Amino acid sequence: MTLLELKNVGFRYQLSKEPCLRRINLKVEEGEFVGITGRNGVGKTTLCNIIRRIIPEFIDGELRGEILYKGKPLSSYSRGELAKEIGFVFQNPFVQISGIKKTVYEEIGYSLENLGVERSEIKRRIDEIMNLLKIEHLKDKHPKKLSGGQSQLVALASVLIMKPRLLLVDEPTSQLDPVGTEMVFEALKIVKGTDTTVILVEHKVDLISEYVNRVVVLNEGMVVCDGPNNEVFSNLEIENYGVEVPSVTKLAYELKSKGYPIENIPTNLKDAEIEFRKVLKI
Amino acid sequence: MKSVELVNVSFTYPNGFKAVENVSMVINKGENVAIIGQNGAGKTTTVKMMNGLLRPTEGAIFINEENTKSFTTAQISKKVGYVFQNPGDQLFNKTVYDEIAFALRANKVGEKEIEKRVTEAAELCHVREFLDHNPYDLPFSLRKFVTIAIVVANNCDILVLDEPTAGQDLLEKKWLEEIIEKLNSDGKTIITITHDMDFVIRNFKRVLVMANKRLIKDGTPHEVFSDEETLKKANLKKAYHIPTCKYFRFRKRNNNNRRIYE
Amino acid sequence: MAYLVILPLCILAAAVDKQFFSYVKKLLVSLLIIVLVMFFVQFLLDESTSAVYYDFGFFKITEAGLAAGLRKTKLIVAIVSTLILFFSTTDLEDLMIALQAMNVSHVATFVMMSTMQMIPEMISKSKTIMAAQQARGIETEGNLLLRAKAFFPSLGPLIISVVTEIEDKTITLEVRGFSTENKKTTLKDLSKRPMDRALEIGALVVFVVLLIWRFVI
Repeated sequence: MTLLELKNVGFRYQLSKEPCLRRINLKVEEGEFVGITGRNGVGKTTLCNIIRRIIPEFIDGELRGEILYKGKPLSSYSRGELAKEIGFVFQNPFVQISGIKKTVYEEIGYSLENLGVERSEIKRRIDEIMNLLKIEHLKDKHPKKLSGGQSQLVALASVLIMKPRLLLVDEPTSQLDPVGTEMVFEALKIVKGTDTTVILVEHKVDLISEYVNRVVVLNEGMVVCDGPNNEVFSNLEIENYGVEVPSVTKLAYELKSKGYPIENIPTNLKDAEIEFRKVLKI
Repeated sequence: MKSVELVNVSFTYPNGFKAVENVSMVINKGENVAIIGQNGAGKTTTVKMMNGLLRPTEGAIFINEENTKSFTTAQISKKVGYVFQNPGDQLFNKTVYDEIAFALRANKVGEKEIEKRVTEAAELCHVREFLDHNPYDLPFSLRKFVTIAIVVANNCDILVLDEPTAGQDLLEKKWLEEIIEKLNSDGKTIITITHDMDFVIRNFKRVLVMANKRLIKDGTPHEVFSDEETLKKANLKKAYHIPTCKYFRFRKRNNNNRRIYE
Repeated sequence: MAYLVILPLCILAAAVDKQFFSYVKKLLVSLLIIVLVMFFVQFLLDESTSAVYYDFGFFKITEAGLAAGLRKTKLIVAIVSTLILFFSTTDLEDLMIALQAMNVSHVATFVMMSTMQMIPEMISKSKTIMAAQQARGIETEGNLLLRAKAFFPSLGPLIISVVTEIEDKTITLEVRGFSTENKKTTLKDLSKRPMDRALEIGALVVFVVLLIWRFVI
C-alpha cells in the first residue's frame, strides 16, 4: 500500500524570497527503506518537517501541493494520531531529550505517558524496545550524561516505542563521531528488520548505500533521481548534484578505467567484494 | 620555527578527571596536520590548551616558542585562532560583516583595514555574498564558514579547526580544502581535528593519532592507516576500512584491498 | 509563634529528610540579611530608654525593639521557611505528577519542570560561550570594565541558543505525543497511602483549630 504520497509539493519559508522546495513528487510504499540525499540547503530537512507536519504547524511559510498519508490528506489527522503514526529523529542528539526525566528508562517511557498508555504496558514496551535496540545497559543513566551516539539511540527508542508506521530520520549522524555513527547505523539495521517504513536523510553515502533499497536525490527543490540503490549510486552524474558516489563505486570505476573487466558496478561492500574478488582473481 | 610545542603536557579537570596524559609534540611553522581519534581520547582538550582556553596542569606549551603561561587567553588567541565546533557559541551580531569585524573593532583596528580584511576573509570562506545577512539566516553549514572567516580576518598565524567537516556536504568540503590549502600556502600553520578519514587522506601529510589520553602515533596517513595496532588502539579500524581501502587504491595494493575487506 | 513553632518544626522536618545543613544554609542565605536589617530598623526607631540590653550610641538594643523586630519579621520567616522546606523536600517530578492529577495542564507542569532544568544548563552554556568569545580575542579576564565589555558578546549567543533550543524542544515534544488530547498516565506511581490521608486530615484539623483560636478565642 502507498503509505505516503507527495504531489507537486512546494514550500517557501516566510522570510525567504525563493522557495525552498519547488515541485516534489514522491511516493513511498509500506515497508520501504528510502534514502534521501542531496546538498546542504536543498530542502531535505524541510521535506521531513512537511511530512511530519511540523510545517505548517510550527513553522510559517507558503505550502503548496498535496500530501497524502495512507490515502488521506495529512491535515486530516489529529496531532495525537500523527504522533502515533509518524516518528521523527533529527540531527541534534542533545535536544531530543525531554529534559524532565532522570533516567533513560523513564525518558523512553515518556512518549507513552503522553499517549495515555497504561502503566504496566508502558513498562513492558520499554523493556521490549531497550532489548530490541540493545540499550539495556543505558537504563539507569541520566539522559543528559549520554554520548552523542547514545543520545540518538535513546531518541530512536523513544520514538519507536510508539510503534509508528513511518519513521523519518534526518541526518542522525552528522554531529557524531565514527563510533556514534556506527551505533546509529547498527540500530537502523535492526529497524530495517521490523515492518516500519523508513525514510532516512543522510550525507554519508557509503553508509546509506549499505542499508537503503531506494535512493532519492534532491536538487534545487526537486527530485532529480529516484530509483533502486544500485542504479542511482552507480550513476556518476549524481556528482553534479553535489552527491558523492560510494567509495566502492569510485574504486570500481577506477579499476575499470585501468583495464580491469568490472561488469557490475557495485554500490555496497558485499557486491564490491564479490565483484573485486572475481576481477582481481583473489 | 616551532609554531606549537607541547612538552610532557597533561591536563586534569578540577573534578579529578585526567583528560590528557603526557603528550609531547612539535608542529612547525607552515605545517598542516590532522588530529584524529575517538571522542574522549583527549583531542579537544589538547588543542584547547594550544590557545590558552585550558592551561596544562603539568608540562608546558610554547606558541611561537613563547611559553603560554605568561599570556592571557585572549592574547594567545591573537596568535592561535580556534574555530569551535558549534558556531552558535560565537555568533551574535546583526550582520555577518559585523560578526567578522567584531574582534578587530574591539582591538581598535582602523575601519579601512577592517573592511579590507573582512571582505578578503569572507571571499575566501565563500560568505562574501552574505555579508549583510544575519548569520542566523544562513544554514548551519555556512555559519561554520563565518566562524572560519572570523579567525582568518584576525590574521592568526596558527589556526585550529575543531571538526570543520561535521555536517558539510561534498561541495562545502571542497571549499574547506581550498581554504586550508590557501592558508597553508600563506605560511599559516593549520591543525584540524576531524573524524572524516576521507578528508584526512586527501589533505594532510601528517596525522597525529590520539587514544586514551595519549598521543599514540605521528606519521603520514599511509603510515597511520597501515598500522593495524594503532588503528585498533584508537578504535579506528572498523569505522575507516572504506576510506582506507580507497587510499590503497592509489598504491594498487590488491592484497591490502582484500585484507581490508575482510 | 513563627519563631517558636514553625521555624523549629521546619528545621526538624529538614533534619528528618537528611537535609539539615543544606536547609539551614538556604534559610540563612535567604532570610538572614532581611531579618537583621528589619531588627536594625526597629532598634533605630525605638526610643524607649528602659530595658536596654546594649547601647551602641547611635542605636540601642532594647526589649521593646526586640519585640517589635520579632513582630515585624514573624510573617516573612514563617512563609519563607515553609516554602523553602517544601521545595527542598519535594521531588519536583512528584510535584508535577500530583499537580497533573489535580488537572493542572500538562503544559504548565512541563514548563515548570524544564525551567528548573534550564538554569544549570544555562550556566554551563554561558561558560562555553565565554570561552568561545575569548578564543576570538575578546578579553574576558581583567578589571571590571573589561569584563563588563565582554558581557554583551556573551549574552547574545546565550539568548539565541536558549530560544533555538526551545524551538527544537517544542518539536521534540510534539514528536513525543505531547499534544495528544487524551489524559496522560504516569510511569511513577504516586497514589496516596494511608499515612498521606492521615496527614491531610490532621493538617486540616490543625488549621481549623488555629483559625478558631485566632479569631474566636
